[in-house]
Amino acid sequence: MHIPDGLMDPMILFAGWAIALPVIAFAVSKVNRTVDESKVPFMAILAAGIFVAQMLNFPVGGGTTGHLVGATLAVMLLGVYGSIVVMTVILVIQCLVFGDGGITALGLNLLNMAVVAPFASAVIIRLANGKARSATSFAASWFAIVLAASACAMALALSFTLSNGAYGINGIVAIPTMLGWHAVIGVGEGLITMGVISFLAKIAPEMLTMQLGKAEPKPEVML
Amino acid sequence: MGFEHDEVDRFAKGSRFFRFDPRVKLACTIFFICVVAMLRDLTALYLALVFTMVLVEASGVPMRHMVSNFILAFPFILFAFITMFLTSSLENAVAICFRISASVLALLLMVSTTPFFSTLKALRWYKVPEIVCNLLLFTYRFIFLLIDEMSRMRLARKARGFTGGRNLLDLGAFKTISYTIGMVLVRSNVRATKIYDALLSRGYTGDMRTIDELRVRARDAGFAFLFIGFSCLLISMQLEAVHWT
Repeated sequence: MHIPDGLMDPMILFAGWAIALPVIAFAVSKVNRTVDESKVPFMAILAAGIFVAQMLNFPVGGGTTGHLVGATLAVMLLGVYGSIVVMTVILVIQCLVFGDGGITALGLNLLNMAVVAPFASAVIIRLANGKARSATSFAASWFAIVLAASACAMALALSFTLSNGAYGINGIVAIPTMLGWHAVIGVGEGLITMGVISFLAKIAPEMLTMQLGKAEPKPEVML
Repeated sequence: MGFEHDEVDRFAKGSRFFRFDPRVKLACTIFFICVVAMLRDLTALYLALVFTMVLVEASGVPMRHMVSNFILAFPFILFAFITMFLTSSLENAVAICFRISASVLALLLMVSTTPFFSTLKALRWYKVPEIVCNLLLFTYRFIFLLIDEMSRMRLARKARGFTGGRNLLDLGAFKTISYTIGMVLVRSNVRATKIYDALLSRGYTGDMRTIDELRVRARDAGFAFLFIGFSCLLISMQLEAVHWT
């Protein structure tokens, strides 16, 4: 889902930055206010953990593999604001160290994977209100992936329409392909998130209580 | 996978652009990519691609390294080319291929000739919030620790006969993968606490002090001149101010 440079219409690129940046700035300030600056190494190693988790491939079928995005996992570990910050850090490193995802397209990539995906998961988690933890983590992951993919597909389709076919990918192709593929990938994401959360609940339940960016940290497990 | 801590930056030091000012490199690259993003003229795009290829060749970064990173963008290039060809025109299809390739090469040129710590210094100079920079710095450092840890776990998994599973219905494989990830997170959590304590005992208060040695030299000015001059040429070609007849 990492959009490279040169694919999107400049207007869409600009819109991506314009929507993503204020949300991220808000999340950063929220985390900055509630978390002591010296907690930075702590968040960083969780970001690194999610980064490394993204490198593990899971089988999809027919020899293809997918990999985790990890937004829902981040929301469950760090809360919605913490996860926005962590996902932003991951995407910036992927762009500036590995050249994965473009630098002008970073705004759109941030919007899809660091804003839309965490918010989508947070909504599902909030709706579930702590009941049926496994089902919730599966549903939240699947929903987050599919929503992020549809945001990406929409940006591709809009680019195509806005530029009269010079940029992006025609919506007739982009929307069904992106949604179809990610509806499948999302199942893998859901299964893994579910597995990780139930594993952590057994082995290290204290890790599920580190909500960042909340006024008062709640002692109970969020889900 | 066995990454060493600075393995991603391993070609930066051998590159001819290594000692160039990271602020200049970053700004020039972003400017160039922005210009390329707006180009539609096929000749201009072709020239942009040739320009980046010449620079990549001149930088002395091994081709294999560039190709292995370039492949990450390849699905998008192929997907865009095929759908453009089918739903728009061949000219647009070729143009989008050139545009993505030129931008990706320009970005790869920047990232593979600049160590991440230099990039961070540049970001700090461009007033990116300190908390974000520190977070980037620590995350970058920890990634390699965890990759090492995970490659050991991967070996252990393999030694016990795990083959990676076949498809989404292979729940056993998913159980193993998610437990691996869970374990990576638990270990990183434990490690984070230790590192944090170690930092505190060394007087860490949250701010980072580095010896700042960023200086713009003549070669940086030359680099900027080359990039900006070439971008202006591309813009004028797009605006049809320059004709090639």
